[in-house]
Amino acid sequence: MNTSTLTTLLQIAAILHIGLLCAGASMPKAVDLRGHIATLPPFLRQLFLVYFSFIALMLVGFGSLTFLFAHAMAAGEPTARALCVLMAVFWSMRLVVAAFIFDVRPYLTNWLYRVGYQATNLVFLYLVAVYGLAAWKGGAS
Amino acid sequence: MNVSSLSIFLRTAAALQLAVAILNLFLVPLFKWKADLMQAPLLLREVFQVHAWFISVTLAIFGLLSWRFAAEIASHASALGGWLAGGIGIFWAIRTILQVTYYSSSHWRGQLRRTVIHIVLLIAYGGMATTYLWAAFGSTP
Repeated sequence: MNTSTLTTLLQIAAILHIGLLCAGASMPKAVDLRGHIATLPPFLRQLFLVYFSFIALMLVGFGSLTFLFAHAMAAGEPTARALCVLMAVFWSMRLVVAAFIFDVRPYLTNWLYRVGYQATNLVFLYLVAVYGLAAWKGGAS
Repeated sequence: MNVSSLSIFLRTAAALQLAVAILNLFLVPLFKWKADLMQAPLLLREVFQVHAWFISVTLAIFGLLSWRFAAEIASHASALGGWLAGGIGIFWAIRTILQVTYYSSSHWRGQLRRTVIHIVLLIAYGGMATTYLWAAFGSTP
């Protein structure tokens, strides 16, 4: 695969982070987050929302870095390649969590949520593949 | 600040982030939150736990990249290094602001141990924000 194609695939990966942000933003309504966390003690409630916000911030950060430095990643520059390795690990772990830990079936109450959930898993798979490819083949041609 | 000093600060921040990444994995048993979390539905408990893991993975990514590429980031050898430092700096700057503005002071006021923890965290988060933002935007001779 040439650098130009890999750059395009990475830029698509960057844009897909926006989709993940939208999926994350729809989660509170889908699972009635506000109602459920109201039962938690105040500190845990605040910690939960801080975690939630920082995961969103990470998606913005990963997406932005990937879009701006897609060419450096595709060209196999050392810092960019290391970032690709670590992001491939990050998204592989997320894929494992989606496959083996979360049971969201009770919350997939309409077709939109069902399609959205499967689309999210496909995005995780795509991110693992593209970051893995960039880590492995970056700068090869 | 010269490149050598900044590299040392970046490596210190890297070690600190790796330590926080590990510590974050054990917050629930350390602070005995299990009983409180059991009040929440299963999916929410899982989301809380998975968010905690991924915050740790993110911090580990920050730590590993900062440790491995401290010299490159400090010397502004690559544009990606500067952006990475800027992104991590913003992450910690937001976390520092939240420590003061979002978490209620009732969590620590009047309790010596918790007040010390609050101040130590504030210094650590602020220190990391300053280090990374300096690496991104400061001048090095």
